[in-house]
Amino acid sequence: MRADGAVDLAERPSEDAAAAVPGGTVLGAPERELTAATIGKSSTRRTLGLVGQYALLVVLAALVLVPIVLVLIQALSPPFPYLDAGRPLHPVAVEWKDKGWLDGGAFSVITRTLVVALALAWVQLRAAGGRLSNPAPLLSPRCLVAVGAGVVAVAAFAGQIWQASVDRSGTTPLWWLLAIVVLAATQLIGFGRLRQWWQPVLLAVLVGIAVTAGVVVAFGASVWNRGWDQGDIGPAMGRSFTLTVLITVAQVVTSILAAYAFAFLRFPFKTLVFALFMATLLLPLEVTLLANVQTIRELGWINSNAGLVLPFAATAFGTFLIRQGFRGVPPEVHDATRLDGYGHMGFLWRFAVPLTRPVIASFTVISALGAWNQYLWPQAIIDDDRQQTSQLALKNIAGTEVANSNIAIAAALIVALPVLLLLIAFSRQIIRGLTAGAVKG
Amino acid sequence: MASVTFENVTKRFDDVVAVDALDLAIDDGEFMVLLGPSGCGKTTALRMIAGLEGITDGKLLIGDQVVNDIDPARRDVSMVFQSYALYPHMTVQRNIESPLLVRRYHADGPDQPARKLSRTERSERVDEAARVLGLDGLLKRKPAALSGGQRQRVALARAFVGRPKAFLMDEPLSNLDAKLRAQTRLELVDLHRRVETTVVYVTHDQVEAMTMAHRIAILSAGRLQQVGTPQEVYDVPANLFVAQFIGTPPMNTLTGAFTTQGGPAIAVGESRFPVPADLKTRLDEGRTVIVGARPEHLDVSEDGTIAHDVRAVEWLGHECLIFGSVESSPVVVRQVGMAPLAAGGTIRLAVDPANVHLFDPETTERLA
Amino acid sequence: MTTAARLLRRRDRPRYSAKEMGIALALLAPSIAVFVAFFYRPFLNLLNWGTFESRANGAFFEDVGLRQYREQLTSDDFREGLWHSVQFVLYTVPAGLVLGVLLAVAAHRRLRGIKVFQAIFSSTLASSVAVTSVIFFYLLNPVVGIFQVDWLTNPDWAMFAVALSAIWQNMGLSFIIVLAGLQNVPDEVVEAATLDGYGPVRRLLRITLPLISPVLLFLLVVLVIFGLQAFAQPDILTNGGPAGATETLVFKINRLVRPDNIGIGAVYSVGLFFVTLVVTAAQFVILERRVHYAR
Repeated sequence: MRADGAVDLAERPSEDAAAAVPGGTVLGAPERELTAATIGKSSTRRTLGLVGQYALLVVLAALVLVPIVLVLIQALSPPFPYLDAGRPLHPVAVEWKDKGWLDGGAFSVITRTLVVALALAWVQLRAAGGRLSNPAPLLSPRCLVAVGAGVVAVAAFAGQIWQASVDRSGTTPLWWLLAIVVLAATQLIGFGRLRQWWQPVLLAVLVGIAVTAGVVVAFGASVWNRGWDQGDIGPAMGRSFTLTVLITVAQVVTSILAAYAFAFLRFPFKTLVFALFMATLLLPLEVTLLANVQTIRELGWINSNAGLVLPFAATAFGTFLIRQGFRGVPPEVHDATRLDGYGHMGFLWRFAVPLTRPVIASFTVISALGAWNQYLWPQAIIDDDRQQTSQLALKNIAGTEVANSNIAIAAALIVALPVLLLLIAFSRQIIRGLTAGAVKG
Repeated sequence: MASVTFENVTKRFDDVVAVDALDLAIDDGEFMVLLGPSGCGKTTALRMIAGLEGITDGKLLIGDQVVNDIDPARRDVSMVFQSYALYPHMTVQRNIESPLLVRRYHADGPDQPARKLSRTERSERVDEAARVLGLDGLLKRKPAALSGGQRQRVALARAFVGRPKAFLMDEPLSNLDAKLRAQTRLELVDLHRRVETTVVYVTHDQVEAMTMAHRIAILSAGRLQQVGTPQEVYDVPANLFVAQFIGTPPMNTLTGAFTTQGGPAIAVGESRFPVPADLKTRLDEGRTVIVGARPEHLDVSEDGTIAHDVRAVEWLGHECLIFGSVESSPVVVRQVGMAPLAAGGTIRLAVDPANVHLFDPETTERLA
Repeated sequence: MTTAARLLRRRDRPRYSAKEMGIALALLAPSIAVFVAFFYRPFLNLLNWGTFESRANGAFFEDVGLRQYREQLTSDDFREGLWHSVQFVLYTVPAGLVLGVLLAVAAHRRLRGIKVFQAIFSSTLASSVAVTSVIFFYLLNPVVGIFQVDWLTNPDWAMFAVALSAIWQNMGLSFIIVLAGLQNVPDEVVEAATLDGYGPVRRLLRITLPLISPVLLFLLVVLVIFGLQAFAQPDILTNGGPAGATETLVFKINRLVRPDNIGIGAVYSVGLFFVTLVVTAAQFVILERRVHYAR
């Protein structure tokens, strides 16, 4: 038995059952199209059916996205005084930060360029059939040219759009159109593999719109800076980050240790103790709030990291989840390691943990998500505005910046960004963790 | 009851051709088995009959009617899925009744329009199906409370209750243990005899095919290899694939050359295989062929013309299997009774020319 | 493992080894410490404090026993808080279930670009209660909002408006949970239903929904608990107003975090605990029968 845990079992399919669906979708779809439902229907009816399905999806997507989009538009709109004079929903005079792509300091320029380049590279990679783990298709000349040309196009036109917006000139829509078309054209260079003629065109146009809008909004408007500064969310984000790391590490470690005890050790009253562990789920913070606040006060831990981290240093949910994972380790593996002379700790660190990496990863991400988003507890024990977490800073801003709604919204979106990135990067793990209790795997 | 006919039917999934120009006529009342290894297209073909897969090219007929574009629920066929696909939340009774609730049937006669069944009619049919399949007393249970064999019978009852023109079965025995499988095989054959409905049965197990089928259609990589009665495919395999797929242990195949020295024979090194009578005069000297002989047709004989180096002998009680090689090609011999042979020795084998099969090395087709 | 092997295994090992117990204790100690310190002990304290009446100057009176419990749990204030929380539940839970099913059923199919829609549907998971509340604060703000409605300042509509933000936020979680349930419905069962002539609506109602009922029950329980514990939304959106119209139970408890009210606060906390417990248990008992579990 190898010490690095590199046993064949490391890639057992059962761990990925929730996400490993044919077709490569993260969230899963039926294995086969329900052909039976469409056979016998005339092709008109079939097309209508298809259109109807897409229409429903679009309506629902709108339901989800509309609040964000509206609020984003508002963020990019000028503040209160302008709204007095009528109710324009689209930007009238937005403060666009830099006038050209190369303004704003080396750091900004490099970051911007890199982000755009990476985004375009990712699109080209996926369109060429590759994945992050297999970047080879990206290195073909046409893809590289597409990415390069795309970056140049964005740099050239973004500046123009910003300029036009600042000058409030009527040519702004024209620049937008030009930017989208040129960008789409550059991306088409790299698309070779898609089947029907309209697919690459559609994709290129979508990418054009998305990247142009993203660049203009994210890097152009000054509202993000103002949101950051005026809302003073820098220190708050920092505090949230520290606390998130501490809480996540604490939860993962204590959960692994406790889960190991329940899964691999024998001791009296194990069932009872486990039940007591799970019973804590019935005592959420909302119920024990007052007493816990009192405890923290008595210990003098108001505003302190200890007070913010320790009550969450252990969680029954984590113990449950990881115990499930440990139970998936075949007993034969455990026996083999005992024969090879590994003690409990050796087995834990070299076999149990590596073999349940997916579950532990799921829990880590969910734990981090929860820690970043915490509201009730920090709100209860932080009384110094300078020591707030990011979520509390939002409440402050919402209260004080009522007139400057765009600042507040920008701040909220910035605070939501880390979690959004986590969600995008680790959606599979998050979904697996959240549905572990709902569906018997 | 009706025939099922594939006329040049092709099924393509994006770039993959699952079924390639299939021409197959299944007779009314016949028990047809679609046999082949995984991925050969047999399940796809079955699902096309049911309407669960669309047809890319060609025509599919049930009876005289082209059904390519007919709603699955209107084709008057029923299907037994490999996993049985019972509704877990419904009782056995409701499961069996399910096809009768929404579909329309020609209850008044084949020429009368199809209509929905009344409650009494449904109840009668369900009771009949339950009786025929021995499910009395289980009607109020849910599938979770049944054994594997019982669940399978519920699936059969559900298929039976609509009195379809054809039963479609997708490897229905594969989830049963060996003993139950053997028993259920007999019951299925029995059921078919009583009901006389066309059955299209998919399996990868040639034993099931050989024992149950009126005719077997063997498929490989989407193409039909041969269709014939079990006897036909056993005695006269149309190509190398069929020859090696049917029969356990599989037919021995060796590469040899036709020679007339010392009489017409196929030479494999020093060994000589007799040539079937009708081919003796039709082969060219020196022509390379693939020669096949089934293990059960090889006899250990001192006058045999085939030299066999024995590697191992397995005694199975009533017969034994002799493993070895002829000119470094593996050859298995099956013999009734015990052969007092030692590993490492050489024996001589003989075979009746009628039991020798010759195949073209390039096309793998049978030479005839 | 066969029964024989299992018996042999058990007989082979000694009863409990002290060393193993010691290790177990060491491994469980951190969690136990946290649970005792921040879950069990506080709860027991609360139970106790509920029996102490205190005066404005923070001094404790002696034990008044269960009288305070009786008084406070039947007080208008408590019932109002409870009612507001229940209102929140009534607004958010049915909507959450329906939307979850709608989103999941719409997105559980093989269409081009379905992954994009799935990503969009699950995106509200990324929004915390604070972020959501800020978003809706500005959507619904009567003066600066995009929809300049007076919902947040109208006592009759305030709770609904507050709940609206939670309904939106819950869409992501509901979608993911119901979708996971849909994935566990075997394709062949749905095909069998189609062969039986079931149309899409009938398939949904008679086959799909019953087969995902365990997942729906789970979602129901989770959403109800979220609803009963609602705090951040009223806190940010309306600060409990207008005129206390959105003061949920937890909101009230949060306000009682002061030494002079701790007895009352404790009673409310314990009340919340029992309400949640009873409601959750009731859901399981009543609905367990109608939920179908496979195997």
